[in-house]
Amino acid sequence: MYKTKAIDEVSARTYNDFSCGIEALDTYLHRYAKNNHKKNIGKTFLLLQEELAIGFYTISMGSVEFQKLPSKIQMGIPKYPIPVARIGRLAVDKTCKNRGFGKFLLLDALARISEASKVIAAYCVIVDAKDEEAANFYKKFGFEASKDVALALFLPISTISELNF
Amino acid sequence: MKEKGEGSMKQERLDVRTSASEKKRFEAAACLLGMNLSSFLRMSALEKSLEVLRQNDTIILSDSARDAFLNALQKPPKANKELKKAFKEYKNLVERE
Repeated sequence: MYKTKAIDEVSARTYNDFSCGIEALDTYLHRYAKNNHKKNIGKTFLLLQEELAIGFYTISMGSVEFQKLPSKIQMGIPKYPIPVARIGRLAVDKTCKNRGFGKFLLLDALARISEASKVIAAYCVIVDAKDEEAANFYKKFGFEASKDVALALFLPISTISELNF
Repeated sequence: MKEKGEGSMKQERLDVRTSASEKKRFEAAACLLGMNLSSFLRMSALEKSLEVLRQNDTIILSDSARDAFLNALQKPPKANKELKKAFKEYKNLVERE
């Protein structure tokens, strides 16, 4: 059994040795994640195996704007800019790659966003993929690449709320 | 509500190392705007911070990307097989705290 916890609920020992192989992500986790979590800049959650972090991801709120508003008034956007939940910096420890943990991290993020969306409006989940390989990972689960920003992929909240988290 | 160090509550110090030529340039620019160096640097850093934070939070879509996006929001796809399968595995193996 694996567990996921918010970063402010564990000690730094849990994630100090975490390394996904990408320095910027490791540094973020080791040095900034907990602070940003407490300051509400971005919420970080860890996937734990026997109290050691084997993966993490960050959630924040963001918005989608349009260069131009659509000519006919679109139905179903009660709010503009459109509030969205963003998943970023999803990473698995390099000793644990290719074992499906990325999937667990993604589903955990979707579960938490789905819960949050019951009380706070968010119309969509947007993930920031770091490269094409990562983008393909998200596409498998139904995320659609945005036409301008190929590495920003989205999935409507309604698609997720269909799952019974 | 103002936080410490913001607005008129200048309680924090920032020491920044720079080269002589950079400093001259900052001073010249500040002078042109009729500001002292300290105000000029704070203003510049604030502007840059807002820009970075905004870019980080906001995605701006062109017309065709906008239409595809709105279309997906109005007709959300059903959860696909992979997502449902991953959901089951997740439910069986991961405890969310």
